[in-house]
Order: sequence, then C-alpha cells, then structure tokens
Amino acid sequence: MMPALRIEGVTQRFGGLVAVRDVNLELPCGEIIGLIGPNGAGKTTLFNAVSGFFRPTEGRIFFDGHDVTGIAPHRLARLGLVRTFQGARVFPKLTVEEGLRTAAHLSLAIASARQPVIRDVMSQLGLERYAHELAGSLPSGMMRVLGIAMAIQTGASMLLLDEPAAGLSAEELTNLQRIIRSVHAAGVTVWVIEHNLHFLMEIVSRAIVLDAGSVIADGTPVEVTRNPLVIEAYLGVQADAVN
Amino acid sequence: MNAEMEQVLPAEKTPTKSMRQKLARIVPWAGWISLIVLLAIPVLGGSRYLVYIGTLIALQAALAVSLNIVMGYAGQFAMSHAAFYGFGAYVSAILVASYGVNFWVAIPLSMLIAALLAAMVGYPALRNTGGVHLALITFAFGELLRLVASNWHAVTGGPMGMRVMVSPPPLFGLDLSSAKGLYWLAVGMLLLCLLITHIIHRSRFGRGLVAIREDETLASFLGVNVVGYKVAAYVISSMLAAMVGCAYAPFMNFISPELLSAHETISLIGVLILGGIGTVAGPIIGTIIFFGIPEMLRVARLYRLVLLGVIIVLVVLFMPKGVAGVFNDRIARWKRGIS
Repeated sequence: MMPALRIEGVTQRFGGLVAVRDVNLELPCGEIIGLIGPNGAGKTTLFNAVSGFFRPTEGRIFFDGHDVTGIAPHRLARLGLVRTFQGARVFPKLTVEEGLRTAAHLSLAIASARQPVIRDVMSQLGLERYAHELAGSLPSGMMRVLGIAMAIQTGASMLLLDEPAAGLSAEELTNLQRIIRSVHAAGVTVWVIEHNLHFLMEIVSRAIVLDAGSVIADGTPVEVTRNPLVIEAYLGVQADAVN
Repeated sequence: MNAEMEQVLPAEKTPTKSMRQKLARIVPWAGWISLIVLLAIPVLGGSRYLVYIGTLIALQAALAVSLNIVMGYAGQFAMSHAAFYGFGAYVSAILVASYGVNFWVAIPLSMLIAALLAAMVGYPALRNTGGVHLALITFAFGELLRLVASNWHAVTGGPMGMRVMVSPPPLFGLDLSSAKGLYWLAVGMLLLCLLITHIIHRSRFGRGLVAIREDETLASFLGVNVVGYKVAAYVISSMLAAMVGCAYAPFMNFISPELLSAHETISLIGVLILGGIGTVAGPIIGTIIFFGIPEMLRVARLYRLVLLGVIIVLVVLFMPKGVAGVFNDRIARWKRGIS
C-alpha cells in the first residue's frame, strides 16, 4: 500500500544550525503515529517542513504520491494534508460556527468531491453549545478542539497535530483522546507531536523519536520506551513512570 | 459578556421572542430604507442642488463600498483607491473625447485597463509582503498616476486639469445625460457595488477574505489561496473605483489631477472606519454622515478634514467596529433577548 506520507532525506538548516538532519520516514495510511523528543529536537521544524511552512534545505517530501516539497500550504491543504498549531490557532474574532464554515472552504468549492470525514463536526465534537461564541473566548480545551474541528472540516485525509494536549486538564485530555480516535476511526491518518507521553502512548500505534534533529528510534510505544537510546536522550529518570 | 448571553438564552422561549425577532429582522432594513429615502429625495424634490448632492453622495458611497472589499473584507491597506477613481475618470473622458469611443464602451474598457494595472501592481506587492508594504507601494503607485496626470500635458491637460464635455448617450431608451440621468447613473453604480459586495459577503471567496483578514497563516493552512485572494480583492476594488470614476467626468465636466491624490483615499478610509469596516451597510452609513451631513449644512469645504479627524478619534475610542458594527451588535443582542 502506498504510504500517506514519505519523507526522503529531509534536512533543514538555519544558517549553521542543523534543526533536522537527514530524516527518512514512511507513514502508512490510516494510522495514528506519535512524534516525540526533547525540547529543541526538531519536531516542530520537521512539521513545518512537511506542512509547507518552509522548503526543506535538502530532501523530498511526498504526500499521497505527489511530490509536495516546498509547495504552498493552501495547495497541500487541497491535497488533503492539514496541520494544527501549537497551543490553539483559531480565528479569535469569528464565532465557532463562522470559523468552521470558513474552514470548510475547500469542501465547499464547486468542483470539490471532498467532504469532511465527520459529517457534523460541531455536534460530534461537542462544540454545539459554543456555536455563537467568539472562538477567542472559548476555554482552552475547547479552543484546541475547535482547531482540530477546523482541520477536519477542510476534508483533510491526514492531520498533523502539534502538541494538542499541552496544558489541558485530565478531563479535557480524555475528551481529546476520544476525538483523535474518532477522527482516526473515520479514516484519517494522524501524526501527532506530544510531550505528554501518557496521553500519547495510549492512542498511537507507533512512535517516532527525534533527538538533535535525527530519528533515534521508531517503533511501537513499548519498544520505543524501552530503547536505551531513547531513555538516555529523552526519558531519563522518568522511564519507569512511562512503563 | 458572552457567558452572560449564554445564560439568558432560555429566555428566548418566552412569548416576546417572536416580537423581538420580527423587530430584529426589520431593523437592518430600516438602514436600507433610509438610504433609499435619502437617495430618492433629489428625485422627488427636484431642486438642482439636491440632485447634485445626491449624485455626489452616491458616487462617494460607491467608492467607499468598493474600497471596503479590499480593505474591510480582505483587511489590506490599499492607498491607491482614489488614484484608480481618477484613472477611470481620465481614461473614459479621453477615450470618449479624443478617440470617439462610445461612453458605454469606454466604461468596461477603463475597468479592464484598471484591472490589468491593479494586477500588475498588486501581485508583486502582495506576493511576499502585504501589510505596510502594500500600503507604501499602492501609495507610491497612486502618486505616480497623479504625477503622470499632472505632467502629461498633451493628453491630460496638465496640472490645471481638463474640461470634458462628455455626456452618456441614451441607454436602452433612457436619457442619462441630464442632471437627473447622471444621478441615476451614479445610483446604479452604487447599487452595483453593493450587489457585488453582497455576493462576495455570502460567497466562499468572501469567507476566504475574512479568514485572511483574521489570520493569514491559519487561512493558508486551511486551504485559502492567500496571495490569489488578496490580489483578486485588490483588482475587484480598483476596477470598481475606475468604473465610478467614469461617471465623474460627465457629472463635473472637469477633471483635475487632485482627484487622484492620496488624501482622497484617506477620506474614504475615514468613511469606512466611521461607518463600520467590513460590513455591507457600513460604507453607506459612513458616507451619509461624513459627506452628506456636512454638505447639507454647507460647512463641508472648511471643516471636513477637521471633522474627519475628530470623528475618527471618537469612533476608534467609543465604537471600534463603527456605526454599522454597533447596530449589528445591538441586533444580535436583541435576537438573544437582551434589550
């Protein structure tokens, strides 16, 4: 089966700093995959390169069989690859309903055959009671949910989630896990950066570990957390807690 | 504040609900009805002076409405609006007077040339930059057009301007060359600008523009072609400005390079801020307050710019969404059952 996303030898340099070093990955369709690593490991940089924020210094990126290296974000979104941002990025001065309608931009195009995988995102994700609230006034948990809801609303077939769980309460975390699972169940491939390993390891089938810009481990959550390289680089004394 | 509204929502189920909702539906129409009445006065009253003011207001309102597309919806600071207005006036007048082109053919021709120019200026200005760069580049471009108009003596008559005796031939049997005819032409252009804004407001394109105004980066990651949409908004706005300009020459019988100057654009921006930027009715309300009232009170020449300054400061301080914004908020609260 053709992978959803293939990353070939991607390197990202900023001046003398190598943020991402020769990363090669294949992400199959229909999985939830985690991307972890210590602060400054290059996770968000890798996401930025993949999502069209900037062109990688070296290497190529293929999405759904298309070479998408360095193409504009809106063209990537049109192909079905949509990312969310750290924290929550929504349209603060638009209501939840307006934001979601705006996000449906692509699926509303006249010639478009694409439809959001979840028919009624607003009620399915519990945003209905906030429909007429300004997005900027939502509680932070709901703002994250709205960010993801908007990404789903574009009709994306693959989502890149950048630290969706940071700063959420236990209850909000459970809700977020449920949402990610239901998006996945609807057929969307999900790649998620997360610091909260408890949260992450419960939902992913595979975790990729990045350290100093390079992939140092790649496997099931159990394999990864037992990998001595990973423990040394990232988990440190917390390794026991994760197991 | 929103939380409060949320709590009051159940109150909507009381019998007063239908009353309130009916009223809420009527209120926005009241604005349009007052516009219609205001525009109809010159025709009903019939004095030359009123027809003149009515035409002036309609032209200014059409300009404000068209500027609102790029500025209010897309959130881009285009400083060349008056320049395209003057450009339309010059090009159509020259086409008609010097080349014998039919007035009704000169309008689309001027619009087309304006659109090409706008695309040529807009694309490089918006491709990698936007924001303050667009303001500067369009300002420079507008000044360039003004300088060309005031120095190309052979074609434009130079800084003293040119007299143009252009009058539109009858269209579908309607005589538009009289003062009242020109008034209807201006009103027709205003309505066309409003119609286009209304269509954009409800379209996918319009929502894309609003998304760009609110957060350009997020918009692009949700699939909005940011550069394409901005350029399109700028081209549509500039094209409509040129169209409105075409009515100016027959109305005034005189064009001067002053028409293209940047402070005309700044006045229009003042109108938008006053009326409510990014709303359909805002530019109309702003024009009526800013041009209509001073004109009728006959204090326009002396105090307009002073008035503009004071009004903008007051509006920004007390109603940052403009008059139309305040109306819309009131209506939204009415619908929720808060008086």
